[in-house]
Amino acid sequence: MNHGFRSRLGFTSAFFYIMALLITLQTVRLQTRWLYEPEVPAETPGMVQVQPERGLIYDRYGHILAANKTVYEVGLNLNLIAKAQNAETIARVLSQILELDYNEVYTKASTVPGSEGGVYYKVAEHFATGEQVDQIWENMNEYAKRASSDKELDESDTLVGIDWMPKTIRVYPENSLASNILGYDTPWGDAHFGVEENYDTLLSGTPVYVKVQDSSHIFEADYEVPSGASLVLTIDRDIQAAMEKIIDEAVEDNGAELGVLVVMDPETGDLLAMATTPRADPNNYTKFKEDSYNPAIDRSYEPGSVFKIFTMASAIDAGKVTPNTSFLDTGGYTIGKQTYQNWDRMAWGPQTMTTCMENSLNVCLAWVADELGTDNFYNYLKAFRIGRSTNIDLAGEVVWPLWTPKDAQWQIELLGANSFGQSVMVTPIQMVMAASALANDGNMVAPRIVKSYEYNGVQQDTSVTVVNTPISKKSARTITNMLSVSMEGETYQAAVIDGYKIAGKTGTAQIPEDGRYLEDVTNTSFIGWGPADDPKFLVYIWLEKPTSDIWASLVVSPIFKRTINELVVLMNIPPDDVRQNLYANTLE
Amino acid sequence: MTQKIVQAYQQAPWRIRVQRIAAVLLVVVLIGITSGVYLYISSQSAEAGLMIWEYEKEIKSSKSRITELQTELAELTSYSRMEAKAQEMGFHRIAKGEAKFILVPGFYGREIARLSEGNPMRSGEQIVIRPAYTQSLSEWLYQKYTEVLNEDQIMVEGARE
Repeated sequence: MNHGFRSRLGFTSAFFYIMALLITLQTVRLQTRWLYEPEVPAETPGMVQVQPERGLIYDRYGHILAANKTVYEVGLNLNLIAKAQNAETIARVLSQILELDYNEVYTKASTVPGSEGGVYYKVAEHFATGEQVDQIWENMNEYAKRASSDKELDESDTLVGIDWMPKTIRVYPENSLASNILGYDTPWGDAHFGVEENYDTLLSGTPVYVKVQDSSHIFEADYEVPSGASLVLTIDRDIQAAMEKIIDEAVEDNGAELGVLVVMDPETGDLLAMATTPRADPNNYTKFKEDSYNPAIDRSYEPGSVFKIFTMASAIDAGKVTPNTSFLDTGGYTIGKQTYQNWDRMAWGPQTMTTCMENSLNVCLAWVADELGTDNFYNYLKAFRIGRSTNIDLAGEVVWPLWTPKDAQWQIELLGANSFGQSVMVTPIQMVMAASALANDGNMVAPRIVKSYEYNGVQQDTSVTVVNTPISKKSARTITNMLSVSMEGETYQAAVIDGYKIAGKTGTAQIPEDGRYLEDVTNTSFIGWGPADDPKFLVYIWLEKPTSDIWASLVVSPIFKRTINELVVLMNIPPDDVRQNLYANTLE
Repeated sequence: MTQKIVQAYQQAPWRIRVQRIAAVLLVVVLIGITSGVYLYISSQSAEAGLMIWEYEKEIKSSKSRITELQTELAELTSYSRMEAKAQEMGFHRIAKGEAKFILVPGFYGREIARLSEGNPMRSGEQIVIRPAYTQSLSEWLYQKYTEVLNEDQIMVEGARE
């Protein structure tokens, strides 16, 4: 074997060995890359964050309340622009189509790639429309065609380096409907108020980071961005719309500053409607200038006589009074240094607890609280979670603390005032949650706005939460019966609903300002639930500072009646006799 | 003497060289064949991957279109529009006294919206992409190893019975 043959053989063998080694190495590298490549690349220069499509929001029956719309981020690939030297052409075309300032676009387009801390990509326009992008595409094709046909033209006469990436922004197809519940998400992805803010993490999903490559069409579909979770709310769109119409008209007709109307299923805590006036249009959120976005949860006030239901329920539960306990109203009752009077400053003579509620007598309720005892009274209020957050799943809930004998600010005089709902601050949602114990056999349920959420093909329902059982089932039934009997009295004539037995109570509250109560300005409220023997709804209405009249029995009672008349139709609740007959027939 | 016997039975040097070269070439050829097969499979995988990529692109574009249409539909069926249309058609909201109630056996009222079946295994991606295109060589080997192991166990258990 000669030397030449040996060396040729050695060379060939070495070549094959090296090739085999390289192929093997490459194979091993590809197969084991999961060991050294992170699943989600970190945000680094040269990476662009791609936000997932925001999850949708539906009402309980699947009507879309918050949807998405596709817009385009038009960007500049600085690597390609620097190579083509076409910043001027790009600035001229983009400023024309996107109605931007030429100098601004030119400055961005002529940025040196990798400068400014490693920037390779600049955004020319964040929210371009589909039509604008179509125009850009047409121009790009035209320029490319011209450049290929005319050899004298170089790359500086092309639009190489313009990229666009579709993305979605929030739109609200129902405009202002339920806007106080939904909140809003800005085109920049900042969620404010309501469900949008509270569930922002779930709705927005997990962003991914995409590398800016050195080729055109950088954002092609080589990455997967799963959408955020979608939410199904407890809200019924039809009931919400009907309640908004009622409260809007009520605020206008009565010259009130604001109005709240909440409808909840007292058994599950499902909020069927939470209507407030005024409301924002989340599609034009910048125009909304009110202090309160959702006064049902973010505005505390002294509720007045609607609060008496808790004082009476507590006393009944503690065994201090019964519906027939007699009381002689002499027109005044003194606790500490304060003598409490009735709303009309009159003495009402012999009363029972039922007529005390019917006539809304402060003197009687101050006596009831006194009989109950200070510690007992405040322990019950704590059990009703007065002064504590309801933890409703909406952003922006406020809480005003309840002063009890353990607090330095508390005085014995507060016992009387608190018994009829003065000197105690609540939000409508706190009142609704506390009252659910009375309407739901003693079980106080947490109000909830999200019924279920859906993510990645799985729908998960939220659960009903019983927060506490402040009173017994028997006491709850007794107070419900008392309030339904008192609703049949003369005071409530404007609120009586034919065919339905409803438990209810009005509340007219004075408004404190600078340490004293204002004259001739009140907060008027109404709380009620029904049908009394099997409550399906709990309604709370509040009008702030109505100018038509100061008394809730005149201002809010007709609104309550209209509300119930609409609700029984929308919720398919038959009149009591029809319902009982239907049930009786079923049992047969 | 011993050296002479060894030398007597020793292969000719050129034969040894040829044998060594043949062995080396055999290894090289085997590596070449393995690499060829692997490259062939890789190219097929790449082709399939490209198709998947195209389909994913289509899915993405369809999803975007669905989003647009959903929004359009939501706007067209919004409460205010539906109410206006109903009124135009001569409908009006039923008043309390106008309703007649009857018991319908088996009807428990309107159902709460279900957005999905709730089974993640039904996700389209998992049905379309076969494991051969997503698992690594080591995963495949482990899978085969456990399959063989399980078969052995089944056979042993069968023999015990």
